[in-house]
Amino acid sequence: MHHSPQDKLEEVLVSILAGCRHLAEINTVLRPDIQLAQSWGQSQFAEQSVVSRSLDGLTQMNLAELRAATSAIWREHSQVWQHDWRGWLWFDLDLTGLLGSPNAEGSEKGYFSGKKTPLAGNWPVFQPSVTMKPSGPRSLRAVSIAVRV
Amino acid sequence: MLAVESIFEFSPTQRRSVGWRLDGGFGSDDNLNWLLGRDYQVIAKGASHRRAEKLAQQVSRWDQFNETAWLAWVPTPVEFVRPVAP
Repeated sequence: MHHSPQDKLEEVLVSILAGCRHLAEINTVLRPDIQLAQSWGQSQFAEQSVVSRSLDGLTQMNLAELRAATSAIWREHSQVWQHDWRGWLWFDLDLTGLLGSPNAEGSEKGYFSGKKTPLAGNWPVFQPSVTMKPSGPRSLRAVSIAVRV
Repeated sequence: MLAVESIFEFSPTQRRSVGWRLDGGFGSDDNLNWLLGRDYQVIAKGASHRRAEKLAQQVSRWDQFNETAWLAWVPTPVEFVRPVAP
């Protein structure tokens, strides 16, 4: 089964969307999902070692091309260009979750990707509540997005 | 952050209207000082767990944010390149 370099780069993207933290997870998360592969125009995703070898083989020039392509996509499609500068422009940097719509699958009040750890039991915070914040960030797991693709 | 800057090439005036919400380990002092030094606005959670624990010990009043998180005011623990609100 032949996979082009583009196929394998797309596979890396899909692995990120599916919540894989390591390329090794491709074998257990992506490879068994034939329908997902077909939705990306492949009969089956490549084995993780094949993807890893391709990434290892990238030259500095390849990386520069990848950066240039990514920048071009942002320049062409970003909504920043239409931003009304009378208001704030906010960027969110967080590797632990993706912001989602309140109506999105798996979205619930205060939920953020399951990465937040509760406060340690020895913190002096377990006192009666004084005020309650009525709202919180809403998010969904990246894997939920991948299922919808 | 550098990628965003190189793509959008914000003017100094625009940078003052750009805010960054940082989490997941991005809130290092170096990152915050870089952004503040370029006149960006920043909302961030500090990346130092030890500093957070030390500050938590100084808190006298906690307010509940949700079932697992509590909030409290603390003094700004470090000097940044620009004045910041705690």
